[in-house]
Amino acid sequence: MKIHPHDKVLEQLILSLPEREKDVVFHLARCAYCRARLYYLPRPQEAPASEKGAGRYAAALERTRGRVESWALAVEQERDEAPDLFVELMGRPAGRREEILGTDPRFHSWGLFELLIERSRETTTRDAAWAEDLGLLALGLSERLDASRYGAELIEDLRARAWACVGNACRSRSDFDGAEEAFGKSFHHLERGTGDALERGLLLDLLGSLRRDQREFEAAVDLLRKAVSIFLKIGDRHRAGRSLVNMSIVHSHSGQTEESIPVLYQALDLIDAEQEPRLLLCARHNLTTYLADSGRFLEARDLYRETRPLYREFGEPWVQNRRHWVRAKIAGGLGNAGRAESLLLAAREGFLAEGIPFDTALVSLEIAALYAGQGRTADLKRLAEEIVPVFASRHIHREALAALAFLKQAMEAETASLDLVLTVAAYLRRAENDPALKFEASR
Amino acid sequence: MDRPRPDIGETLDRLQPVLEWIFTDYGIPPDQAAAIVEECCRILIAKRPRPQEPAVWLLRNVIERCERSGEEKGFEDPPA
Repeated sequence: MKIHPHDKVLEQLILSLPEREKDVVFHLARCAYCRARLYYLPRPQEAPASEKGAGRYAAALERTRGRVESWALAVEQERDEAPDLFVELMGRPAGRREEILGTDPRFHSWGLFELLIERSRETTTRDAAWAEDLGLLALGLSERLDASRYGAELIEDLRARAWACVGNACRSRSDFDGAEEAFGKSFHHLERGTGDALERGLLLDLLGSLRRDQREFEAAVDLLRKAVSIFLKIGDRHRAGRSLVNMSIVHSHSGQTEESIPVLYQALDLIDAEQEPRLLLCARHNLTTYLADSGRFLEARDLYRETRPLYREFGEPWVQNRRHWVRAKIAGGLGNAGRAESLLLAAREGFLAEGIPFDTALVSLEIAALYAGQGRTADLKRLAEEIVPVFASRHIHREALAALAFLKQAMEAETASLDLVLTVAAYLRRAENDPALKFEASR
Repeated sequence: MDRPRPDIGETLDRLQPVLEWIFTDYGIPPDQAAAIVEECCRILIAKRPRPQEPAVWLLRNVIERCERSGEEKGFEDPPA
């Protein structure tokens, strides 16, 4: 059947099934493994298995099993040893690490190779330069790995991954030329690798982030769609969910917040909470925020309530400040201005303490909008006094600072209307992901 | 962090009947079948983060290699 059956056809089918068979259908809908098995069922009855299948292959597969189990043990042992080797390597002077990797065969291990790549990936958001160094060290190590032991194609797969990590680190510090070059090398190695679709999916996902930061939104969405399709094909629902979260961020950066909402609902169906609870929190939090920003406050409130236990699991300020912020949006939208104000002030306090200027600015503008809406000019003036000195001492780009200074002037002159506050706030939200965006004071 | 890795032997046991039918369908000789399974398993073991559904990953990769092998054969030995 090449045409998707109509809802009514599916409904009739489900209703016609006994309870037990319904369970089987719902299981199939969720289990990629069983769906893959379906292609080989029912098995032909006329040919006894002993003649056509089991008898022919059993012995060969048994021998393979022995070799594969030995290989698994060897790799696990290298993985167990890798953290100590990593600590030892990092204990050496930075300028000598490459040389030590070359001369000491203890370091020539698969476990250390993949650990360097993993650490590079994990470190990107905190310290992109360090992430790049780790990726390059991994690539240096790959030249020393024994291709006859590990397989040349497998090494190529991980080289592709290491270059993608380097590219991602370059993207993170806005070195787009460096990122392009690294991703080009990554594709080159990928073509020489095992052909594992998982690697291609991981690479496309990271390249999608580069296109997003380059503000090539259509290309970013296209790459992420391909990554999602690959992950779903290989039964990796969680990674498909992760790429969808990434895609929703692309929509948000392109100013299409409404588009992000269905994408995140889809992601929530795919994310494995046990595997990565932080990703689930991130998806739920972003969805709650987008719903509130789109005026769907009741839906946002219900989702927030469902997410409360998860917020409690992550007590760090980064999460809790954002939690205050989204609760404030919901409270304000549902008409509880007092609650919204106290939550916004708590969020602002938290962002100031964390030293996150852009979010501090955005929350301050939401407070300003609240004051302007209530005609609280004295409070607006007080807020204005606090705004610019704080931002001037931090790293907010010039255009954004100019927009804030313009608003401050209006607040001090008591001419700041709610419209002006909202215009500056909308500008700042867009400028966060597009530092080249000009502020039009005439608006 | 990855979840505990189920024994690769266990996965192979679970898949063996399906694998045998795949190899039979594609007309792959036993030695080549063993080589394909070994290659795929080595990749699976060496990959971290690991595929979420290792059994699905393994089946898909085995099938792809069988298809590739069929295409190569067809190229060398075209039908009369």
